[in-house]
Amino acid sequence: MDKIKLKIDGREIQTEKGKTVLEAALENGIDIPVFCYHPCLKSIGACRICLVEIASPRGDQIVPWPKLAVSCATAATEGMEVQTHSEKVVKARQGVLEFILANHPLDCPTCDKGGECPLQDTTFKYGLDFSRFEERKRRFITDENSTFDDLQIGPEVIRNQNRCIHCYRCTRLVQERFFEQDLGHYQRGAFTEILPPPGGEIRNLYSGNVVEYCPVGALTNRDWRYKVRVWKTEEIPTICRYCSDGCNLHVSVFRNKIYRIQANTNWSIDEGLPCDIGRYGYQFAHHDDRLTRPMIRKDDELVECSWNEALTVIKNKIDQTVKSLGSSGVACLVGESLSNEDYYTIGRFFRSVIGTNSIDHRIYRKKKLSFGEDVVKRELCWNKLDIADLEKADQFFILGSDLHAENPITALRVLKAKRFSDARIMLLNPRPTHLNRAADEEHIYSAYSEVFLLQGLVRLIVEKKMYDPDKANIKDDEAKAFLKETADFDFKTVSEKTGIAPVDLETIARSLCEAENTIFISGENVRIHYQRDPILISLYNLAKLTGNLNGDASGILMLGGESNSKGCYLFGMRPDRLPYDKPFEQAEELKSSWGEIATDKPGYDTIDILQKINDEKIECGFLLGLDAADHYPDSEYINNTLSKLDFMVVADLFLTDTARLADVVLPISSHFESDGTFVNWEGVLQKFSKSIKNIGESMPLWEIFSKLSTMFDADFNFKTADDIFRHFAPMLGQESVSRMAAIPKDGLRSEKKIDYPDLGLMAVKYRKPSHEDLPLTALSGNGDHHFSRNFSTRCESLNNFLADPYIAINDKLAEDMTISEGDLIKLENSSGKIVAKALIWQNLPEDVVFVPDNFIEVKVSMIRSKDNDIDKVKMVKM
Amino acid sequence: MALSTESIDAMKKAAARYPQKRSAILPALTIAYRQIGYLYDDLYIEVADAIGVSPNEVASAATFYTMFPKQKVGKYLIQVCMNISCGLMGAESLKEYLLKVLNIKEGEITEDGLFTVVSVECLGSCTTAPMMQVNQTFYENLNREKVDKILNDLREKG
Ligand code: SF4
Ligand code: SF4
Ligand code: FES
Ligand code: FES
Repeated sequence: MDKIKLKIDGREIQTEKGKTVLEAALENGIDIPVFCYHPCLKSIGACRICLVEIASPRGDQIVPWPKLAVSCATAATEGMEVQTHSEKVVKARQGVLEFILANHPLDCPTCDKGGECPLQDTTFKYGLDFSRFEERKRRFITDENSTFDDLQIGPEVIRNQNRCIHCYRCTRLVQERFFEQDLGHYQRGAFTEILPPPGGEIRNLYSGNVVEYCPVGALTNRDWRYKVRVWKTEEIPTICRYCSDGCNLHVSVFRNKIYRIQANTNWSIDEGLPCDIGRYGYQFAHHDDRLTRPMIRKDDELVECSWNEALTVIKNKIDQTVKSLGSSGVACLVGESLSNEDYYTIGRFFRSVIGTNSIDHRIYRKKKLSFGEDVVKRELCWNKLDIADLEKADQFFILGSDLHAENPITALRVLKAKRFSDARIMLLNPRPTHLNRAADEEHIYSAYSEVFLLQGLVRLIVEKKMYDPDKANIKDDEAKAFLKETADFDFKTVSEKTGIAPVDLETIARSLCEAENTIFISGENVRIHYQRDPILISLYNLAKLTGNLNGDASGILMLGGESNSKGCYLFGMRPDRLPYDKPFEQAEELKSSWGEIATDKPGYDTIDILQKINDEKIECGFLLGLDAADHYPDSEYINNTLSKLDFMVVADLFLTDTARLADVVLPISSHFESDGTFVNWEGVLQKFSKSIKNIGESMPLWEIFSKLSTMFDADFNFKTADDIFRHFAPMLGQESVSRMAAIPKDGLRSEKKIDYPDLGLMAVKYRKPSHEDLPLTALSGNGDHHFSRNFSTRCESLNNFLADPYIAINDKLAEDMTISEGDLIKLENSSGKIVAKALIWQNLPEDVVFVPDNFIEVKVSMIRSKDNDIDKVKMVKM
Repeated sequence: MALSTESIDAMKKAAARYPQKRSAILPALTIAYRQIGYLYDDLYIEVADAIGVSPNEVASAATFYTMFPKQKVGKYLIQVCMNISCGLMGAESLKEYLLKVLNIKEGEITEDGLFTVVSVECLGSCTTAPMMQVNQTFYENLNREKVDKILNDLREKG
């Protein structure tokens, strides 16, 4: 980057060429007020508050500019001299403010923005104490009886147009960064209105951000409005508990109650633009359904009891089981959004106190993976790129991922790359996904034909020699061998199996070979795929072939998962690994603090645990922060299995379907009620802080297991989450971080980036899936504004976007079966049935139905069977 | 569907001329306006569909331009310039006169469905003030006699 020098307010300043005067000033702590400028948006110079006086060199003279200039849209140039607070500037700024305030209602006492309002603050600092405007102020009347003139323009956004100062931050944000069109400006001049399009509402997944971007109280949130004054609340940093992106957030608390969540900008992750799920997804914390006391089964009913009673029963039952079956009779399954401190404590309890390694979190899988945990997959799962690296890519190949709904913030970076550097987006999915609004190409392939698609592309590239042999590092004989091995994946077959036209396949292959840097992204559809490994290996082949295996802006990402899925891996929530992903061979270090650990053989994974329960080899089961009865892709099997347990402990926030089966139910605290850390998909460890007192008698899991440890004479003595953090901090490999407080604001990023090893081209096999002989394939994923289960559906604001389950079907199919939108339909197979309203979805393939899997009432797991790779159903109109 | 197939075809043709579809919004709106006579919410959606942009972009542009009427108007839309030059030359009383002889208020339609009068800003014909525009035609250096004649001619044309 070229550097230039200029003077601002007499100070010599160095900045990069291309920066604006405003940016140069702000970087150097020189304050210039702004309204329309925002670092995430392109400058438009609309509000004029950032006026400055500029002189620039011409020949050997410094010549003043004839007029004041807007610093946000004026490039800084060599030798410039800028005055930001000269008499002329101050006067002009006052004039601008006087104009803005001419129509502004100045209803600060009843305005929610009061106390955190840039207009209020700027007027306070720079404004006049009088106005020459005596005319009536403009008013957009929505209610004759109230001057609030509130207008609800979306499920959660309220507009008060009177206050709007026409900075267009809101509409630019929506259009520029979100690639959405649900907010625009209408009419002109002083009468410009901010509105959704005719008949629409602002309801995009990031809609809440417009409220934070509005520099006045023209846009407010429904959840927070008129409830509490901002200066009475305390702002506490937290991390989102939903997806694996790990947005940094601020909780606003007043008298031990959460009133709202706002962004807490982390430039390397969320850029201050969390999705609505994170923003409104706090409401479950105060939901009436929260469990407040432990419960114990007496006479076949769950009744409340004391902690002491509950823990004593647990202790006795564990002892009993260990006596009769050995420690392998105890097993534990955990959810993916608990804290690392929880995982560490749970791991230590089961491995060192009980002596069992049967711990797992991978409840979403039906079957064991076809391959072992060999190196490719381990590395593939490791995601060596960071979110910010996505900006540098010039192409995205997104396969089997509803990225928009699974990793909304990662999706925003993809969009950013498109907006600012014209990156290409290729979407390949078995159903349409909302990222298609910005895709250059969208291909809907036949469900479960991924292996054909990917290996077909690899073969096509090899066959037609589209690749650069040096970049790809592939020798001719290797290529030949590969072609021979993959003879079944010829062009024609692939096109037939995937339903993608030959010319399209060729275009995809060409763009993959032409782009400089491609990032391959896959998600939930692949994570739960019966052929996950062949898919990942084929992606690896593609990346290798196109020279995208190891770059700064290229590579493979396996996304999806929940807020701490990565933490599950890192902190040993698997039968075969110890904390910090250490294999058993490296247990020595751990033994020094944990005492004896059984490391002779790995424990059972989810699938084996369930089997062993059925074989009566496991009698005592713990389900922690996991609604297994709902998550496991086979309702009948999991219910039958769990009911065979002799003793079952469930720890959760709510009385979930799993908890109803339990012998002891323990109320756990949410992440708002404890300090702790999560690791996002990049591998960044971030801390959240306790923001409210524990609800009822609930406790975080780490505390429960620390208490339990004392009953086994193994006192962990963990009094705070930080006590635990201090224990595992040395494993994080960063000496300076030994306490939670030392975690940097942007999170702890591990420097370690492992390159993918070069393993050559690997041919994979397609395995025909097992399924029932029924016409429709059932796919599922997140519904709009929901994520996972039990939590988002207990947030009123999120339910305002989508409250009811549905079954999406193709329009032709609907017509054939005379189904109209809203009609009740039933999906049925030998596993079970579900009934919901029909939603007609035009581009959905005819042989596919989509069911959001966030709603407990319509459990997708009811039509799933662990014995089938694919869940097929038939549909009946009710 | 309010738009005719011809209009939609014309819009698609217009859209094909631009590298960015949204550039075709104003041409497309003009086509819609010529066919229907005024613009309204549902029409924005139709226009948007025709050229493949979002209703939001179409509606924003349409409402920004006051020259597209947003309500049903008479067959002849009379736009009287009220800006400085025309104002100095008697635009105000000219407009009053029009409203009186047509027996309507600004924006209304005469009973025979022929006329609507609205006031507009400078139409760029200041040297021939006062002036008005009837649909696509300028009438300049106006006085009451001329206005009478124009109205009569239009009535005759029907
Ligand atoms: S509503 Fe707020 S953000 Fe949008 S233009 Fe008005 S003042 Fe700016
Ligand atoms: S769900 Fe994901 S994208 Fe949304 S706020 Fe939470 S971490 Fe961010
Ligand atoms: S901040 Fe520069 S014009 Fe608005
Ligand atoms: S002032 Fe009437 S045309 Fe210019």
